[in-house]
Amino acid sequence: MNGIGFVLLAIVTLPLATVITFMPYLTRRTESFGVSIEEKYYDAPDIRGMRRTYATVTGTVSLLVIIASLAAAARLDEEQLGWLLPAAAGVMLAVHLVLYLRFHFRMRAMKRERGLVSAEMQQTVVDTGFYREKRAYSMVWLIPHLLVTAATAWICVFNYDAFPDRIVMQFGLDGTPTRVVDKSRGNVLFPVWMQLLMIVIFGIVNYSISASKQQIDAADPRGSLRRNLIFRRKWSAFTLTAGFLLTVLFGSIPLQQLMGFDFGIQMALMLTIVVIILLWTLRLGFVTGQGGSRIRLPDGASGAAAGKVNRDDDKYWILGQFYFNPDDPALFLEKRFGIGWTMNFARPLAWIFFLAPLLAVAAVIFLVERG
Amino acid sequence: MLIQIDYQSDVPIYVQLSNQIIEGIASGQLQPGETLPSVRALAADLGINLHTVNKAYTHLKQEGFIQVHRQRGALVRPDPMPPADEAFRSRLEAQMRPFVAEAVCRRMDEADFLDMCRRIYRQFMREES
Repeated sequence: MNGIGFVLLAIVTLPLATVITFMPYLTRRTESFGVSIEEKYYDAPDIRGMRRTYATVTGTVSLLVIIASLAAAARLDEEQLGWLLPAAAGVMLAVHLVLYLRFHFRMRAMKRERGLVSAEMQQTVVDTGFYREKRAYSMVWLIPHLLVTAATAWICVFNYDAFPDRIVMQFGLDGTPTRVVDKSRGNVLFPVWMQLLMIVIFGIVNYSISASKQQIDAADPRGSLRRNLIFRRKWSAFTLTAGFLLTVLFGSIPLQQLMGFDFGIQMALMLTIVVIILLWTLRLGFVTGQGGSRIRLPDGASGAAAGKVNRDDDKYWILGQFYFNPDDPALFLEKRFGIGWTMNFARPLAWIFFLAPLLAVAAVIFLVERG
Repeated sequence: MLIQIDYQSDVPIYVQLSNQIIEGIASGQLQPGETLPSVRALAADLGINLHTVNKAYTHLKQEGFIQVHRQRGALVRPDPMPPADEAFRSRLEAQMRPFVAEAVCRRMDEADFLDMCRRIYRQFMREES
């Protein structure tokens, strides 16, 4: 086991542990473990206590898992190591899910007893001008990605003869080839298919950021509206840039195969890009919070408190995580626990969007395997 | 313009919706020719059935407050509303009668009632300036 294995394990598991540990603090203050509450209850001692317990247990377990897997990494062979990272991440996610569910049901019980959302004050606020605002960066910003892809395809096609007869499809962490296949059009072009697939996926994410329905806080319509627009634009910029970096990363594969430059260079490039993306995600998560709830506006930007609260839509959220509302024509909306967007699973299109990337990845792998 | 829908209110949602759009036009918060969200977008933002928003838009269209184009979507009527003619006056009077009658039943003072009308009327004038 060499140094790169340790580094890779650490740079993936540490940010993951940080995000899942602090998740209840990144969510909006009108939701607690997937249950809608009035903002004034967010700091109630028992609700605050749940967040603290969740974070302490998730954080401690995650840290132990990371230490254990780093220790185990030293003793495992190359093949077993391939399973270590997914296994460690899986255990961390499972612990986070169990704790989430425990506190979700506790929140539901508390809400049955104490209400937590006033029935009389519920309101939904919408701005008729919302869709005239700039919500995401233009798809024109995908042109650089397409240019890189076109260049990669050009290199692969016109230098086909110059590629070695046997193509390395997989490297071990120390740089030794672990899977080598005969050259074919399919596997030489593999990076290009991956680039195209990623451009489509990042394009859809950027579209969903722009198309996701407006979710204004009835207690502070003007302020939450402005925070939400900043939130969307920041994540849109991140999405487009991260997509570009990954396109470049895949573009480096045929260059390495053609010129046979040092494996270390490509490994360094990959680690750099992964670190940039993960650190940027973390930073954005803590700066914006879900829906922009953590963004501090210059004073005077928020309107007077309206004395209203958001509509209680708990009944549409299965386990507080999956939105299912056949009456709502919305496809994309903001998650209730954590940061980002989810879909209205009462719409058939949501299932298509959900399954399509998985099928597409499977299709690319299948085609390439067949040559 | 911000539209606020109360779910606990006795007033149906499509009535709340069309009333607020008319108020927005009266106060100038919605400008002549301004585009309104599509039926689908507005229904999605409110998390309600398309049919409900459609009902409000159809009503507003019939009354002449908005136009609905196939390509450009819904927009506030670009030209001024027709003046309050005889037909409008008689309809308004018929609509006001039950409100006045109930106020009389509850022994509301005439001056008091007129003050309230004036205050509401001037709210729209002030916001426009």
